[in-house]
Amino acid sequence: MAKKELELVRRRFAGLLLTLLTVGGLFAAYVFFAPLFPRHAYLSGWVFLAVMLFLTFFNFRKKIPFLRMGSVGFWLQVHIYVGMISGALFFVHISFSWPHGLLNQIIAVIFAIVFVSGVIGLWISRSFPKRLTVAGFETPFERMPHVRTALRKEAEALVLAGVDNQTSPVIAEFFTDKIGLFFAKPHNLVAHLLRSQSPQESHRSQFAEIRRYAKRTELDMLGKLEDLVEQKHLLDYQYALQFTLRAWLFVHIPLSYSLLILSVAHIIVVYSFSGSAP
Amino acid sequence: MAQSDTNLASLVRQAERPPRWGEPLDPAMGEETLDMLLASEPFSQMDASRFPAGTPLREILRNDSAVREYAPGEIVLRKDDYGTSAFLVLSGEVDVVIRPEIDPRLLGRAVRAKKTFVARLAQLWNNNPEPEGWRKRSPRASDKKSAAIDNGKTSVYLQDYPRIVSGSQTAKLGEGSMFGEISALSRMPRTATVVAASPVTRLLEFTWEGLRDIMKYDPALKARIDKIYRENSLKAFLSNHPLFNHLDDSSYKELCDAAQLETYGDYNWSGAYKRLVKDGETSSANEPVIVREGDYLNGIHMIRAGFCRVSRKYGGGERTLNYIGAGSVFGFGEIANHWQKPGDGLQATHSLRSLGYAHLIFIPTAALEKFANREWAAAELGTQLLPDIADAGLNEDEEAPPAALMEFLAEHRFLNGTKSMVIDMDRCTRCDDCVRACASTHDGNPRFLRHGPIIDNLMIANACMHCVDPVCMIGCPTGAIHRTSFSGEVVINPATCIGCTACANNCPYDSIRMVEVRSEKGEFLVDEEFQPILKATKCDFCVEQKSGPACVNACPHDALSRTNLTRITPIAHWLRKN
Repeated sequence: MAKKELELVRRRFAGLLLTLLTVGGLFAAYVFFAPLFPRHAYLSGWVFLAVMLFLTFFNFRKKIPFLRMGSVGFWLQVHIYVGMISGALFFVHISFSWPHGLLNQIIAVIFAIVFVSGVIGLWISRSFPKRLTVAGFETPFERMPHVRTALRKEAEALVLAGVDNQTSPVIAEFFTDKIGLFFAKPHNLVAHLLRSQSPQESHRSQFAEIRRYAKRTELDMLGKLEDLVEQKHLLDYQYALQFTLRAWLFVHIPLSYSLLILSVAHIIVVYSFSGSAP
Repeated sequence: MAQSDTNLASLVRQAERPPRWGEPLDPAMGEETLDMLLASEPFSQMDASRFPAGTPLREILRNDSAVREYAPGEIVLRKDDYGTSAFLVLSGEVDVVIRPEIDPRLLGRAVRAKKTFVARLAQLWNNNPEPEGWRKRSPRASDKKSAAIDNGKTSVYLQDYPRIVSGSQTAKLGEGSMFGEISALSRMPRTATVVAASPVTRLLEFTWEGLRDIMKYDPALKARIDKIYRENSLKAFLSNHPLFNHLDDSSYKELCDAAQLETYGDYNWSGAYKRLVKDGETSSANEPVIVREGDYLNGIHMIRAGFCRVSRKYGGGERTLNYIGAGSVFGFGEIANHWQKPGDGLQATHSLRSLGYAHLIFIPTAALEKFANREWAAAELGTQLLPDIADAGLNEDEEAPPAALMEFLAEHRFLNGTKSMVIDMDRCTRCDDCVRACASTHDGNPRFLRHGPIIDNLMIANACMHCVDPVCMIGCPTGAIHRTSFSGEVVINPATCIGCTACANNCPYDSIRMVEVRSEKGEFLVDEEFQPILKATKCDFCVEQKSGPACVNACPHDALSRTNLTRITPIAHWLRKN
C-alpha cells in the first residue's frame, strides 16, 4: 500500500510541478513583456478562450467513451492542470485589476465561481470517497429512496407490532413525535458533511431516556429500532456526501457554458468598440 | 376499465416469442441429408424412441448440426481457441497436430470485427432512443451465430501443408471419429489444432447444446465420449505438462492407465454455492478436502478444471495461502523435495480443498517416479516448487495481496473471473460515469450494476467476470450464450436468446439481467398471453469497441479496473500500481 501511495504521489507531484512552472512562466512573461505590449490583453484573451474551449471539451470527452482518445482519467488530470493555469491566465488577462463594465464583471464573477467550484469539486472528489468507504452502508445513489422506504417500513412494522399487543403507548408516542419523520426523508446533511456526531448523539440520548419508561418486554424492540435509526444515519451520511459529489457539477458545468457564451459576447463587444484592434 | 385497456395496448405490442430452434445452425439442411445422417453411425445405432417428443433426434440434427466440407490443409480447429461445437468425421480424414505446435502466424486466427471509426461515432445518434430496442433480424456483427461457432469456414488454408506438418507428431482421425467435444462441453479452450487431410473431408458439426441433448438420451454416446476423454484428452493434457512431455506413446498409455480421475462438487456448482451463501456457510470448513495438511502424500494432484484452495492451519482455523486452477499441480514440491532429501518426511505441508467444482488427475507416486521428467523437476526445484516458497504459490519477485483479500476472493468464488470489475472505492466518486458509458455503448441500457461485495476499499461489482468456467452456459437451450472463439469472452447472441432465464439463474455472481425488450417505437413486446418477452443481457467486455471496455475508459478517477482474478498476481499488481 505504501508503494501504491508513493507512485500516486509521484505522479501528482510531477503534474503539479509542471503546472506551477507554467503559472510561474506566465506571471514572469507578464511582468517582463506587459509594459512592452500594452495590448497584450488581446493575445491573452484569445489564449484564454482557447483554454476555456479545451476545458469544456472534457465534458464532451466524457460523453463519447467509445472513441480512442485516451482515458477519461487522463483527460481529467489534464483538465485539472489546465484549469489551474486558466486561473493564472485570467489574472494576466485582467492585468490583476477588477474589470470595468457590467458584462466584464459578470464574466469575472462567473469565472471565479467556476474556478472555485472546480477546486471544491477536486477537493471533495479526492476526500469524500475515502469517507464514504470507511462509513459503510454503501448504497448507490439511485437506490437510496428505496432503501430509505424499506427502513421506514421496517421501523413502522416494529412499532405497530407493539401497539397491536396492547403494550404501553410510550413507544408509539416516541416514534410518532421524535422518530417517525426522521425516516421520511434525508436529514442532517450539513452535519454529516461536517462530520458532526450531534444528530446521532441526540438520538442516542433520546433512546436512553425512553428506555427508562419502557417495559422490559419492549427493550428488545427498542434496541432494534435504535439499530434502524443508526442505519438511517449512515444512509443520510452516504446521501449527504454522494449528493454533494454530484451537486457541485450542477454549478460547475452550466456556468462553464454560460462563461463561454458570455466570452463570445465579450469578444464581440471588445472588437466592436476597440477601434483599431490588432 | 376500457380506458386502461386502451392505454395498455398503446404501451405494448404483441410479438412472437423466440422459439428453441429459431435459428438453425444450417438453414439449408435438407431432408435427404437428414436421412443420410440417420442411416449412418452413430445415429443409426441410437434408439429414437428414447428422445422426448419435444426434442426428437431428427430435429436435433436438423437444427443443431451442419454438414461442412473441407479442402486439404484447411483448418478446422485452432489450438487455444474457444469453441462451442464438436465434429464427427463423415468422410475423409483430419490431422490432429499434437506437437510441435504449428506456428500461430500460419493459423490465421480470425480477428473479431471491430467497429470502424464512423460506426463508433455513429453510436451518438444511431443508438435506439428506447433502452433495449429490438431490431428485427439485425443482431450485432459480433453476435452472429456463425461468429460464435467454430463452423470451420474460417477459410484459412495451410499452404504446403505436408511440409508444415512434416516432423510434427500428428494423429489421424477417420470416418466415425469425433473431436472437439470435450472443449465444447467443458467450456475450455481447444487443446490441439485440427486440419483437414483428405482431398475432400466432410464433417458433421454439432452445437454443444445439440451434443448435450443427444448424450442425455443416448447412453452409448455418453459412454463413448467418456472413453474418448480418457484416451485422447487425458493424454493431451499430460503431454502438455513439462513433467510428462518427453514420453513416448507406450509410456503415455501406461501413465494414463495409472492416472485416476477425481471430481469434486457438482459440474453445475452455482446452485450449491448459492445455498451455501444463503446459509452463510461459504468458509473453507464446508469445502470438500482433497488433501489434508499432515497427511501422507501418495501422489500429485493435477487440476484439469475448476479451482482449489491451498490453505494451512492457523490457530483454530485455516488460512488461505493461494487458490490454484487448471494446469496447477499440488504436492509435487514435497515429493520432489523428498527425492533430494529422502530423510525428510512425505507429509502434505498444506491442505487442498475444492472450491465449487474441481476436476483433478491424480498421479500416484510410483507412476510419478517412473515417468516424471526429473531434469525439469531438478531445474524447477528451489525456484517455485519447494514447500516453503510454495506457501503462496508465488515467484519470489511477486507480491501477494493481503490475506483477508485472498479469503474474500475464495469465499465469493471470484477467482473464476478473468475480467472482473474491481473498483477502488477510495477513489470512486460514485459518479456512475462507468454506468452511463456502458449504457451508451449497449442499446441505452447498462450491462452491469455498480454494486457488489466490498472488502476494505475494493468492490467487486456485479459485472460479468468472463469466467474461466462459465457455469451460466450450462443450461442455455439454444447456445445463445457462448464464448467468443479467439479471446474467450462470454457473450449473448440476442437473436437466439429466448429469455428462458437459465443463464441468469445459473450465474453465481448476479451478473446477468433479464430485460424486457421493446420495439423501436418503445412499446414493450409481449407474447400472446401478454407476458413480456425477455432477453438476457450482460457485460460483453465491449468486444466490438476498438477502445476496449467503455467502463474503464470512462472512469475519471482511474478507480475501475478489469482484472484477472484467476491468479493473484494481477490484483496484487493493480493494488501496487494504483
